[in-house]
Amino acid sequence: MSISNKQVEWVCRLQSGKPLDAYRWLVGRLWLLSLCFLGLLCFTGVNTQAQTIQRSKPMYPTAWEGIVRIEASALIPDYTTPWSSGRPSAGSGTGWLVGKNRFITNAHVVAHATRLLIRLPSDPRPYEARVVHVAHDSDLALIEALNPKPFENLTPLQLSGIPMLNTEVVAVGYPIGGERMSVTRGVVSRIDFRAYAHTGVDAHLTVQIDAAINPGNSGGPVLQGGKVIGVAFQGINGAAAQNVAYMIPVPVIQRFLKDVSDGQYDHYMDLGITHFPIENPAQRLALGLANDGRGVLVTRVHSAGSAAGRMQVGDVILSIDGVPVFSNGLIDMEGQLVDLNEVVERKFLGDTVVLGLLRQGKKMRVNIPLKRFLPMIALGNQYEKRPRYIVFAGLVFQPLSRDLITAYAIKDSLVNYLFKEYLDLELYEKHPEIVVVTSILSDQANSYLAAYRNAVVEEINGVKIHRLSDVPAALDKVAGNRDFIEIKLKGVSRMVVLNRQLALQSTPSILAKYGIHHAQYLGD
Amino acid sequence: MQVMLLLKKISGIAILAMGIGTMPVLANELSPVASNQTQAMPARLHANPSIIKINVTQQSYNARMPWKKLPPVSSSGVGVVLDNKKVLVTASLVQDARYIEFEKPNNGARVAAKVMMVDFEANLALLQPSSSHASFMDDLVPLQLTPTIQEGDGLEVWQLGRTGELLVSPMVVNKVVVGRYLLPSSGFLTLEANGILRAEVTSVTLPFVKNGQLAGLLLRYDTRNQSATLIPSVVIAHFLRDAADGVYAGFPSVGLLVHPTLDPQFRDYLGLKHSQGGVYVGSVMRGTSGDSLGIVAGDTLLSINGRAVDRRGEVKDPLYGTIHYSHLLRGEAFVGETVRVEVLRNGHVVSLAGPLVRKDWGAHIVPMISFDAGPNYIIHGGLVFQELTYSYLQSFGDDWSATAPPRLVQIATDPSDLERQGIGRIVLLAGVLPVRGTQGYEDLAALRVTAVNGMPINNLFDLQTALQKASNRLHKIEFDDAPKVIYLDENQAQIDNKVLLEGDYRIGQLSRLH
Repeated sequence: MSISNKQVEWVCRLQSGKPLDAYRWLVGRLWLLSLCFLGLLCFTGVNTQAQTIQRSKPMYPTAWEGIVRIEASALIPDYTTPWSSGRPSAGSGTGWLVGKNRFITNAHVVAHATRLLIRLPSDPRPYEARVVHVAHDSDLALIEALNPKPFENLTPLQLSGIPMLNTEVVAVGYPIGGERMSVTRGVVSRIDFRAYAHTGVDAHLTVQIDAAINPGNSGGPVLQGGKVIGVAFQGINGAAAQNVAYMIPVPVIQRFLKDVSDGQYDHYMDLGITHFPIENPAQRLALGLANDGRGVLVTRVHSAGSAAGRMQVGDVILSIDGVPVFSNGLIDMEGQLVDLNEVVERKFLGDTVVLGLLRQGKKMRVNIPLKRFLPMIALGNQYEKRPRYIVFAGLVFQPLSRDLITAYAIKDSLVNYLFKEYLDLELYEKHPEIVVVTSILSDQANSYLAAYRNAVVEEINGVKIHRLSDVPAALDKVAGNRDFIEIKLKGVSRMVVLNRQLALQSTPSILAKYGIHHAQYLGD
Repeated sequence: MQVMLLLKKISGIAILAMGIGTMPVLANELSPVASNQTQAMPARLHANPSIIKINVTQQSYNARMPWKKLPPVSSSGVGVVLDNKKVLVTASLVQDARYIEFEKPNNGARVAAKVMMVDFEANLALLQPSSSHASFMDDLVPLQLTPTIQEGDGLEVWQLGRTGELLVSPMVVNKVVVGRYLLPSSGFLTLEANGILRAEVTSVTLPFVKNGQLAGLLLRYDTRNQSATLIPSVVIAHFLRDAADGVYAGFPSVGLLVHPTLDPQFRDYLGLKHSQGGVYVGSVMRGTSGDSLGIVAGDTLLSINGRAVDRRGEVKDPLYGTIHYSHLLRGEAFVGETVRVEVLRNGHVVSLAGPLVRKDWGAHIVPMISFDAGPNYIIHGGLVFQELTYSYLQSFGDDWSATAPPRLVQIATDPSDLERQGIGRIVLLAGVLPVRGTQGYEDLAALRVTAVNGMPINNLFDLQTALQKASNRLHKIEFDDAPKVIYLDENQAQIDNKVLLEGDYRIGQLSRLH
């Protein structure tokens, strides 16, 4: 092993878990199964009066009649023109009947959808559908047909449990390569806690299979003994690995269904900590630990996380809900060695987790009521949200986000530093949002300011900017020299100034010139 | 942000090697032309007594494994014989040189040579034969420096062919501009000349001549645009004059980060009159000439020694037309000289005067580049400690500002906070070698060490002292980020040190401190 090969894990941390080496590598190579499968869809109308179509016996088990093709038309927000309606796109995935007029599919199949259609394997007619619940953090969605009638006689598929390794599975769906239902076969290769590529920041229990799974399979069931053991959702690019496909296992599906059973989705909970294995003998000695293979060191306690105020950096976690924690961060759960987070993964808003700690040599127990870890969620890809922006004198102000960095391909080292350290340096405490001047729409009002593109706004007219919504009032404020608007940019050693009168005069004509109907969108 | 742009690529050698090495023409295709040319100019063949071939074998250190040297690389350049039989080359030619020799173009005779004086900022070095070979220089004739160069001047570039024949190609000066040399710190005057360099004889140092006098040395060559960038004779003259008394002071450091005042809104805001030019001073680096002159952030620099600075930062020059103001404080002036400047401060014109000073590039929190010396390090029990330097950051690749750990990039970009805290150097746990005592720490890298055994760490010497103070045979090493604290067993570390010295790693020495 050489030092030069080592990488520092600063890019992404798994929620409350120890940083995983392969995380960044993996996210870069994961693909979502429906996104590459775009095609032009034709549709003429909705059948309100469903009638049974007489057909001969199909070539697949009757139960598979509930495995449907889902066609989605979507508008993908364009962060480089945040005022526009977005990019039209079309794609397809798979869904399956889980209950009365309830189909499970992937969140990424229905994300940003403006119209959804369900197609049954033996019925030529498309049926319009809508999203009932969507869980972007676990890439699952529940959809229903507007007209439940055609599905009344179908039998929902049943859920099983976590499969054994090396047992056979069958993936059913509508992947690329043809129009009809496709079946592929493989075995369960691995059960692990892994990154979910849809948000880019989540990680949950995942089952790896070696059945061929391709774009369009997304959301489709993986079956064993006729029952569902998972939802196909992502794979690894063929250049990096062969026959590696992932499915969302039953505990994650069940958690989703249970969470939405009260009519609303409350998301995953998170301790908001990071931990470090305690394998080193000197470290065990210094911390007063016996050589028993137990305990992980708490290395960060995020102020916005559930554990804030209850755990401390330097605590050793010995158990979680009474289950011993091994020194590599794993626990024994139902015979599987899984990440200690799996205990938290299965809990809901308001539930409590009990941690057995060693703090400065003293054993203690702490009860931690669980909540979401919002700053981490803010770092992920966002869905069903219109991009927010302000255009003033041609300067476009937008809050920093993963989508923004991707859209503009921002390489600025300060912006990247702030984004990557947002959690670890707890920048969210002072700056719930980092406001960036993302572009400058050229006009005589801003003719010399092009160099300040991608700069981070620190203050406007002496007002500290903590979020995008601080900007309008700050621009209006008169401070110091009343003829000028002063914008202080982070890391820029001069004030950027706008002649107030010129800026106010120019804004309407800039909006008209660049086809912008509204000078700002700050959210609903 | 402004500094970042300058820091993209520093190694002059790499640039030169790339520029010449990627020439699209094969050497063989060029040879008929070469013989035509040499026939056309028979008088020059084997007959230039003022240039000499320099063969150099360089070997630099591995910035991430500082105990290791990289494979040796050989290159050659064309040196210019100056008064007192000293030979002028670029510093990049002799950087990290393990062996230097002179070779006479006419008969191939070779002698070992050594560096007498080197300035990596100005990228210039003076060489001479090793003591016993002084007579080697007897039949060589010094070349004089040309006193003036202007845009439009015709130059000749002198290259040496494989058999020592002189190859002369014409070049035309098309620009005189302040640009980057070897270090990112600040600019020097450069000449840009257009013309074709011969690909079959690649060298990193080549003389450019005007009317038989030295006009400059090649800094880099852009094959696509056929554009050569030169170190001009004015900078060479400065270097020689400074070096003449044996006490080398170096070029003054300017230390100003300035912004143009072209934007009329910004000008109104600053209260600049239409007749005034001036550049806005965003920041002044401590310990530089800007600092010693009393310039402060927020001033607008209006003039230097009575010469008006315009809105772009240019001053009128009788020779070059216009030239960046920094040339007056750096390329033309010497350390210790008194300079008068005028600044606009709070709406009033203020006159300032002070001496020009030089800030050594090693005096920064993040030192620029360590030439000729390996990176400092301490290895203890498999933990590899290094100081944060630009060489270290550059080891993450050309786009290190995007690929190196963001916290370290941020420190290098804006060290002012740490400067205020009085931090000397940033000490890193650069990496971990897998030995018994580092079990469980293998993935730690690029972490800033804040304290060891309770003692704050501001440089590797602090660390060396602190490592003597293990309590109960356990070292406590603290970082500014997760995992915050690790422990190392001193007894095991002693055993592991031995393994690293004598086992597979053969690291040779456990530390380098200078």
